[in-house]
Amino acid sequence: MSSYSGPIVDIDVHNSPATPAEIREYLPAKWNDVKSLIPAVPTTNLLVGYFTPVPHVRRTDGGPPASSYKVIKEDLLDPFNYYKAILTHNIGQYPELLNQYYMVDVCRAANDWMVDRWLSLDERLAAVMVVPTPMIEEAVAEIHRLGDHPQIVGILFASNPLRRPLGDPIYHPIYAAAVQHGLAVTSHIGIEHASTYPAGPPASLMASTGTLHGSAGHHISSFITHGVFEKFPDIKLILKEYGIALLPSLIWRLDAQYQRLRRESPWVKRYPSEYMHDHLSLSTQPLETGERTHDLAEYLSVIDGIEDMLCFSSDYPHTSMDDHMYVARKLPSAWHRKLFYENACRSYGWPLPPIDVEPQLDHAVA
Amino acid sequence: MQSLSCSAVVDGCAFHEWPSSASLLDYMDEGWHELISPRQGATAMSLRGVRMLSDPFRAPGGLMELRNGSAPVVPGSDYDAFERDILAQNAIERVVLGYDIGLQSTAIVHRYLARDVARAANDWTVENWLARDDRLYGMVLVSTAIPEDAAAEIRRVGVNERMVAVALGCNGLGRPFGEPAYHPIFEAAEELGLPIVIQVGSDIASDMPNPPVAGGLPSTYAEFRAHAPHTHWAHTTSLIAEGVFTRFPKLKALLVGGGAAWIPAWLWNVDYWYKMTAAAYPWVERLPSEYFLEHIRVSTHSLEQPPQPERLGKALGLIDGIDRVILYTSGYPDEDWETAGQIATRLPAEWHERVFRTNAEELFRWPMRVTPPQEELVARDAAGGR
Repeated sequence: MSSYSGPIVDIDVHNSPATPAEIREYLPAKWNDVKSLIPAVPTTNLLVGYFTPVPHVRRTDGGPPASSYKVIKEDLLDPFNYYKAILTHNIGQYPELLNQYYMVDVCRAANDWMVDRWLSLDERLAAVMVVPTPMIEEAVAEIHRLGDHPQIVGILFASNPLRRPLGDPIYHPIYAAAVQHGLAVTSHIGIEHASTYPAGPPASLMASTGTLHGSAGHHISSFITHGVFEKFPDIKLILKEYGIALLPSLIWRLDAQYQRLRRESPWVKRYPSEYMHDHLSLSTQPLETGERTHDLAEYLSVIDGIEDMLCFSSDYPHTSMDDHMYVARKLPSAWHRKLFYENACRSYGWPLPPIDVEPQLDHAVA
Repeated sequence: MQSLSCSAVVDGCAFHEWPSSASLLDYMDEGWHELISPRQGATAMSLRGVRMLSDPFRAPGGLMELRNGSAPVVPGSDYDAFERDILAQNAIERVVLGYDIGLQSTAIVHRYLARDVARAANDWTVENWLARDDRLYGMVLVSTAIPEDAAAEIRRVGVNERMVAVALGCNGLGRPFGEPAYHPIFEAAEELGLPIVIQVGSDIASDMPNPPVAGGLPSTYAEFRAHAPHTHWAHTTSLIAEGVFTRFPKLKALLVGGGAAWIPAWLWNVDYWYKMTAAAYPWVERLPSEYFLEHIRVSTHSLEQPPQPERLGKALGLIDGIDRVILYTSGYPDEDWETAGQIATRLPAEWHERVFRTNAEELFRWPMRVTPPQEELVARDAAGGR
């Protein structure tokens, strides 16, 4: 546990349009009569209906936080040795739009906006693309349209209008296309919905967070039971903003069910923990912390090799963001190289960052 | 392998079941007889809980997983087997009887029938099980779909000093248990000093509007088992966020069947989000983890089994006071039920006295701890409790 000054890959940075009109510019003319009536940026269903006093406190450049490249560049990219930052929309829940035909075009517009207004400005920027997941064929077409862009590195589930666990076969054509273009499958919190909460819809944001670890766990286990990792041996699954401390008990509980899994889904060939180790990454934010500095690291280290599944994320510009120094203090220095860039480079297929000067890694015993 | 270092053991929840519908009929009003034991030619309904509602969670092929092979006897309904498997263990001092299959009856969509089945089950338990061995204690089974009636049932049966807790069964309103509509139940439980018991499996009936695990309905039974604690998490955050423990400061809850290794991670995560949004819940006066440690007890049923057993204690021990939270329940006759000796091999020896005995002694309302005074409760019952 110490400081870190080496290269950084930040897998979760939320950029916004300055106004919805920015994205509407990329919509086809056929929607001219309605596009001002329908919100182009749906709100997260995690928050709908709740009074949520969560202000964004980051500085702005006139518009909403992180709505200008200049601010992100000055806040993150330049001062902190950023090798890559993955833009994740804010948070990209366009597939929730109820008019599916309009929804498809909004997803396309949001992707074009991302490429045009952001990715073209800085090679350090990469992005996940939004896909119209409830329209499977259209989603596949959108992946083929943009999937070879060098800075598009993943597909994003930040909503889940079909309300199925993500391993469900309905999504496999989408995964086939993603794998074909080397795109990681990303799930970001927010895909939860009132109808998918266990024991009924939660009445507050706090009550909804009580099962976030569960939501992540089920999407992971459904990738295993539906054989996604067997069917697509190169697929990567990235979960953002669920936390990381969910891993130990999940791994123990899933591995304990191995015999049942083999019986019910005979295509499961390996222990869940093995699939997870080889295919799964979790973003570090929000870093769970115990009372003592080392609590989290001690808890995580009951699973050997757990550090191979962790990727640093800031969640900039949200109030709940973690800066990299905070993460560096809380997690063992022996893990830093992996979680700050190596794991992400492997998952997203990037070459390791050119390191002119060997970063000053503190190799003190954690 | 370390052994059990505790002189006497309290099993906080072993399951017993009524063997057939007929067993409960004697305890039900005449009106139900026609439905449950109809004249020749009509279709009978079974009150085992399995036939009555749509099946509980569906294992491969849509079938309920058969437990203990395909024995025709409902597991847990054979008193002799129970005596042999549980009571014959030398160290067993007390056993609290819960329901596993029978708990599904609380999800019967005919809510008046569900209410009366629970009533009948309570009377049946008192007469047929508690009377046979003075080490046995019961839980008041309630169907929560009509909270006022559930509260009345707690007050009716709760005066029996051998009934030491309230089994909540399924969330009868399709909502997590913190919802204000359920509060009359907690008021009654607190008044009688009875802890509430929230159990994995009570929310899995396919009639329930929400899935039994987060993220949608799982395709496999294995996933349901692996994700068993999800409903615990939903109910517990709901209880805390809705201020139940602020309103009922003496109320305690026992979570059965979801393991425990998740406790540190889950507390840290919920505290994190609470701090981020605390202004939305002015009635929540402390961190969620503080409410949890004071009001929630977690059973050893489905306790995780890491390949390195000592790592379980290492993970759990990061929460100060965790030895006061975990409480031994066997889970008998679930196929992964465990004796105290088996659980003891993967929990630190210095926790044993608390986990296997003291925590249960402090949680349940044993005889001599009946509050308020029995006479007062009897008088109220006579004034129209039922």
